[in-house]
Amino acid sequence: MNKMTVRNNILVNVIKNPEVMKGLSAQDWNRCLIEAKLTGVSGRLASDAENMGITADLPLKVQNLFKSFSYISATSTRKIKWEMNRVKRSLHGSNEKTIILKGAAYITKGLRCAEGRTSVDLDILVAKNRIDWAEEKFLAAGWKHQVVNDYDQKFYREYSHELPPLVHPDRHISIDVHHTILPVTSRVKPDIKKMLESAVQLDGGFYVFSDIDIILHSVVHLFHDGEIRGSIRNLLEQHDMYGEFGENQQFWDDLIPRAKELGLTRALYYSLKFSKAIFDTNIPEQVLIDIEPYAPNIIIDNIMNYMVTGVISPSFGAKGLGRWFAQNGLYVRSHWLRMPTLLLAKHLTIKFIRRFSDEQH
Amino acid sequence: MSYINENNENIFDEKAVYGVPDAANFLWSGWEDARIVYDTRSGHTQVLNDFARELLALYEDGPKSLIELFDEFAKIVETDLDEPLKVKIVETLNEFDTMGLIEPV
Amino acid sequence: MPVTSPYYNNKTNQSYNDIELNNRLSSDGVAIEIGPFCVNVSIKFQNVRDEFIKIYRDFPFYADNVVWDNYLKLYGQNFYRQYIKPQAFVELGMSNEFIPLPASMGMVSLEMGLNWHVAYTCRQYVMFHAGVVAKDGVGLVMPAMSGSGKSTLAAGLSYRGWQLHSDEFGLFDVGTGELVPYPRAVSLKNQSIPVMKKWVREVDDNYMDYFSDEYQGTPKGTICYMRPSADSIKDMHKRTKPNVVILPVYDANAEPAIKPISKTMAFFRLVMSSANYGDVGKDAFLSLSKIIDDAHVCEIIYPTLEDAVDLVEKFVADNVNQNVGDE
Repeated sequence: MNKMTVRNNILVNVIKNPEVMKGLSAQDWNRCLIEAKLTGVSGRLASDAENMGITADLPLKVQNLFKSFSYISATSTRKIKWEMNRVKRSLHGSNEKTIILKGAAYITKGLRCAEGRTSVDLDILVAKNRIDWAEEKFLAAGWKHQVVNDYDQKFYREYSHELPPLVHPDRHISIDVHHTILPVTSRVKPDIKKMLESAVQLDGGFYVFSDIDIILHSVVHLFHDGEIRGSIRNLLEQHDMYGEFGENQQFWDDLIPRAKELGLTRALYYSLKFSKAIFDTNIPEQVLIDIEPYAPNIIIDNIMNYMVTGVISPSFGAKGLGRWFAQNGLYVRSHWLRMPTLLLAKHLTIKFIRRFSDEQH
Repeated sequence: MSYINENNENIFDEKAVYGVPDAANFLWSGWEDARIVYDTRSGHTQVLNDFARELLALYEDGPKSLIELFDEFAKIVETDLDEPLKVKIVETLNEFDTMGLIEPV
Repeated sequence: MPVTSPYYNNKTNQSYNDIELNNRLSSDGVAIEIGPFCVNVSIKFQNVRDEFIKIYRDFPFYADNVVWDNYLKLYGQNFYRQYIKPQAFVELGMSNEFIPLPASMGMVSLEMGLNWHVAYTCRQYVMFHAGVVAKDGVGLVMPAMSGSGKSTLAAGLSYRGWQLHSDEFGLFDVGTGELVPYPRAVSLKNQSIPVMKKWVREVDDNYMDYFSDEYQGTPKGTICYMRPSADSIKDMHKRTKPNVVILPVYDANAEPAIKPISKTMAFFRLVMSSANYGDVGKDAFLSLSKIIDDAHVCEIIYPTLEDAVDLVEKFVADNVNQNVGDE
């Protein structure tokens, strides 16, 4: 791994140790803030400074910008909480196990990684045989399908792991209703029933996955499902959770066995490895040793090293922003992980034809 | 008994108890002609006339069923509520529910 | 010194002559401070640099010694777009969907880029789509839809003794309860261009120096940019509490009139004009309520700029000054 580029990254240094903010030059700030904006962690910088009590020591312009970032993350949190309230209202009177995922779960559990975070949509999960029922409830309560194109609708329903996103016209937050955590076509098929069984109920009625499953879901989302480009935010939330959950030794004892049970060891390997390399996460030696057998072969490992450190945040790459804006490789790669090749080809072809015909109009 | 809206949906059961989750979530302003409420949970700003303000105030006092609400409102206006007024009240409550100002308890 | 450039404490702005400014704009860029915002601007087209310097040369500029709000680069995306059939592409350090315009209209792209930056990132101030001016402790907010003539009215007032805060971005500081000037170039459209040229000519024979070229065929018709008055630039950190809200309505055939409106109406017009009301949330609600509590409100209907200025000054004289005397 190209450790030098990671070490010299101002944004990472600031996240690892917010006190660093006090010594930044104007030029450092300009680089750090642009990068933070592109990777969606601006709000995190503001909340770190606030928590450390160092906001008043920062340049006035930075304080002024942090005020803006704080409003953005506070409003995002409020909107997610309110959308949860509306979901709860629309499902009133039923006792179905409804699981809240990702940002909504972090917020409701009051996790460290929810601070300064922004989410644009609310992810929930219900058992597969209840998904039509849930969709009916939401449509009746005023949510609308965001995707009206027949092809996209069909894609979601046949190959995806969620309903086509729903948006309430008054609120503009998209809700994604999942029935499992990876697309049904994915080669990795974690047993969602096991995850549902160990889910726990919170005040207010919603369920969340167990702590380990919450991390594994984030890991899977990043290394199988999502776009790695610019996703330092997702790796950071994993780093935070390793720190927060990891205070309890039981968490470390159970982590790899659970990943094995769900078939998610490869993704966990990447998460532990890159979290350690980039944020110097406090991970027990034994866990790092135990996860090593699940590394990919050396070639893929090297490619991943190069690509992840190159694109996870814009300045990691040697050419900085230029490479950042041009980089598409990893997106295709993570798509490739998610769907069998033939299906992928079909998906891309149809997308391509549609885009092309749109341009003709 | 329950109330039916124009889409033939049962919108308010007489016995169902509704309430304001926490009146402290409401911030108020307003001038001569209307009251304006900001709900810190939803972030929505709404304008209420005196009639709607009074109804919401009854729920701020405590959760109640529609029957109880009719009773208390009748006492305030010192007259029996006729059917058109009851329908008007239910429509307003339905709006409150849609906006999340009141919730089923 | 009135409030408060965040940069005055330990930095001084550079005084660049036009040639130095041009050199910096064409290379790494130069940070321009406009009201509370500082953006590092670089421009790869000479015609756009000339326009930019003409309009903005009196503002404070900084080298690389200040923290920016953002950066803006205007360039051709490749050799063909830079030199053969030049097209100005705007980069703002975030994903954006600007349609590149021909380089001859680069100034329009640049101004739209600056607008976009403020509109989509500013949360530290409550923002009104409104013309805002101030004079002698009177802070006047004129929220309005496009086509109401608020830009022209704000610009018109600013060349008759008022300080221009902005012709379309009113900013309000929740913490201090003050309006924050943001005197960007005034964006004039179509018929308002000759109106303003005549208006400025009445106070300065050298009036053409205040105006950019006229850009025809933009998405909004013909656009011309006007430099804010010298005093408005000099006073761009001088803040005022808002105490008058006027809804301007332009109607070529109407008799000039001042019409009373309810405070509730003024409140909701202010809410509707605010691009970030919902994003600032509770503080925006409290601020707007306070503004309307304190403000004198009315609607004016006017057929000409002269009438509008007269109506504004009459309403202010009849209400605010009197009250200040009472207190």
